Amino acid sequence: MLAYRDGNAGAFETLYTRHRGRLYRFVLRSVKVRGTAEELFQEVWMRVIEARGRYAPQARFTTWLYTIAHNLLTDHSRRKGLTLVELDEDTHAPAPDDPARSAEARQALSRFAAALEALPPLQRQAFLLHQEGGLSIAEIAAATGANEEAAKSRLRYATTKLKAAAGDG
Amino acid sequence: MADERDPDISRKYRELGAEEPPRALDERILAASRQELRKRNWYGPVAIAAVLTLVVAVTIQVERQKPDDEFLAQAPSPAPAQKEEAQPLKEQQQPLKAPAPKPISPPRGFTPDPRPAAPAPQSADALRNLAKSNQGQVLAEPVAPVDERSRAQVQARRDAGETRRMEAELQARPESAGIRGSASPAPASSPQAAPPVAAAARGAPSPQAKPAPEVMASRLVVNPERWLEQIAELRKEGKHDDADKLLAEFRKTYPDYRISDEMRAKVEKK
Repeated sequence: MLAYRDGNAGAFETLYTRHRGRLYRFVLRSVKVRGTAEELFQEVWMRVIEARGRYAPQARFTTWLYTIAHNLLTDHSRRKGLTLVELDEDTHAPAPDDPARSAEARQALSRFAAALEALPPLQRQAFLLHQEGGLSIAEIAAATGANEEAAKSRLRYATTKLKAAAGDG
Repeated sequence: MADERDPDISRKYRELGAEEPPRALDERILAASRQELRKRNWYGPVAIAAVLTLVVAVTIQVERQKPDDEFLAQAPSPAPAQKEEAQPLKEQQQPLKAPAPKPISPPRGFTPDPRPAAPAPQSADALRNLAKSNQGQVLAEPVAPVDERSRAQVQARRDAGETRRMEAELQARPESAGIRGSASPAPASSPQAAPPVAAAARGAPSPQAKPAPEVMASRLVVNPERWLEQIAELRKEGKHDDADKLLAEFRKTYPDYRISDEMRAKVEKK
């Protein structure tokens, strides 16, 4: 990013190539609608381009990039009247299918995808930031504006639910 | 409770697939990144060009204003005598030609000052009359006021020019040797003749110096009154032919000179 800030167009292409797939999946699996995901994905990169002149390496670029994405997703949810609220794992988490009734692998995968979609947004985001962005607990906390305990808790709940959905729970 | 870093969950998650953004979206974003760079690169050269243009414009403006200042510094009181001093020798040798004041063309961009102009140089006739009235005094007064002295110098230069011309004419005619007196046969324009004339032209008496005979002859020729007196003397002596010739010569030399009635009676043939 520093090279791009100094006028190296190739540096941006390198960054983009490195992060495009993971960021796209993070956004797509956060909003679940492809068209919206593409809009938001483009908007994230536009913010990166616009911030070129004032970029200061205070954290890893990946953390900064996913922070922008998280903020845009939050704004998007607010515009749609949704609120990313902390949900109690027991009250609102949808119950995964009974793993005992489905032995087949593809069904398990399908259930896993459904479980991911069903996760509360903040838990899903914590999980996706960890899986796609490779962010640590501290980095997830920084990207989402939460403290580390909250970030760790969200990630743990998400993992537990997904394990249950995959039949390993 | 499951660990938040469960490798089995990560493996399952990878099995969901690896969707990629469409190619068109990639192109749009990369184009935007390049455009941003071009936009920023455009600022620098334009800023440098603007600064350079400003510097060049200011420099040119300063250079243009410089002559104005000099001109204004000189403008308030140009001394006529100094202007006369600056006349080239060629102009000095045309004695009766009115001195044309050389117009000072203001530099470009100069706005004329509304202040009253400095006094214009006097006409040739005025200068001549003034010099004539001062002729007797020029040599007698060692220190004259600057203006009078300058005017006398101008007149003396003119007379010197006339002297040279007259001497040349007189040399060509041996019969007028009486008028030339002991004038040197050397050409007036020769370096030998120049110093006495120059001395007369300066109008400042040299302490060691009584005027040489050549100078006296020059003054006789130059001074119209003395010339007329000489003619009158010839008439008195009965040398009418010489007097007629000299009178004709006089009129040729001073066609505008107004001879007083008293002198006319003396110089013209009765």
